[in-house]
Amino acid sequence: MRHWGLMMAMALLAACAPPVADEQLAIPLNPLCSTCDDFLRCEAVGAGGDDFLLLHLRQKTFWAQVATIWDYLAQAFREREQDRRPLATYASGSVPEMVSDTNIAVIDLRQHRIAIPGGWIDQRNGDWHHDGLRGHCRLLPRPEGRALLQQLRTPAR
Amino acid sequence: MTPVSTEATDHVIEWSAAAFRARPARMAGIAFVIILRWLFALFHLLAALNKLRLGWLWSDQLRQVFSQRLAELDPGSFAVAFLQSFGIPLYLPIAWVVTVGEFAVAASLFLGLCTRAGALLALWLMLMFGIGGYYDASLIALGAWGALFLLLPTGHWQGMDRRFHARYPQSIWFR
Repeated sequence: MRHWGLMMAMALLAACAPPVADEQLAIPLNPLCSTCDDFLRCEAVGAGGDDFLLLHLRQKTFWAQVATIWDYLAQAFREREQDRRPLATYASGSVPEMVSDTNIAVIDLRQHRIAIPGGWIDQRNGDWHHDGLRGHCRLLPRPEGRALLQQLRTPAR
Repeated sequence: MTPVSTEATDHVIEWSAAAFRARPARMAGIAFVIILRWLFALFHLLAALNKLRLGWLWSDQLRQVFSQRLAELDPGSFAVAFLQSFGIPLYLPIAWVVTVGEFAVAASLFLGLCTRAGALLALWLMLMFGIGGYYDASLIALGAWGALFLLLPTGHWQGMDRRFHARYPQSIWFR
């Protein structure tokens, strides 16, 4: 009974801790949203406007959604450090193609970095790093992202 | 003469080493379900405290949460219409219902008092979250978890329901 009292007191104190300061990010992603689709348009330095990568951070898988229950409980005892999202990558160009559909984007919630295969994106300013600065990414409004995704998925005629 | 409920005595669990030795599998199962009930209560307590910490009851925090969610949802979905016509205009009463409801669920399931009603309240809150655009697979797991305490007489195994049911056998609150 004493242990339960101690646990409850700890939970109470943890839950009453002041919230972490919210930073203004160029690419804000909600780590609590398990059903969100987010779209990043990344352009390499010097590339033309029609030459870009579309990163589709997809909603979490069924079991990852279930696991958010544990994330929720655990956040009272330790600060969450990262979030993981399924990632599909599409390349534009004369023949749009899906580069990959099986990758994972790992979002570092402290450093505000999105790790993608072969590089990372700085959420604070949108810089895309891949062996040095490769280009710049921006978060698309969801309707625009969905439309662009549809366009890239539609085979060229 | 005090009325004695046979149903109540059917569910009486004696928490002793002898009882564990006599029926180890049954007692282990019951203990496991009681631990799940306490964890479920803890989950709701933390959720309610988090809402208090964020000032849901005396600020427009929930309106901001709903507005953010609107941007995340498919514009043609039912949840968008629900949030626009019901959730956002009534954000403050909803914040009170949810926060007080979560505290009530936590108290009910920690104490084993009106346990089935507490579980039903938790399931209703989850249903509302789902309708309000917060559906995901975790609600299925949470719903199954909460349904355990609606279906099983856990308040008779451990908690205050056993005592109150013996005293008020006709009351549905302590079944």
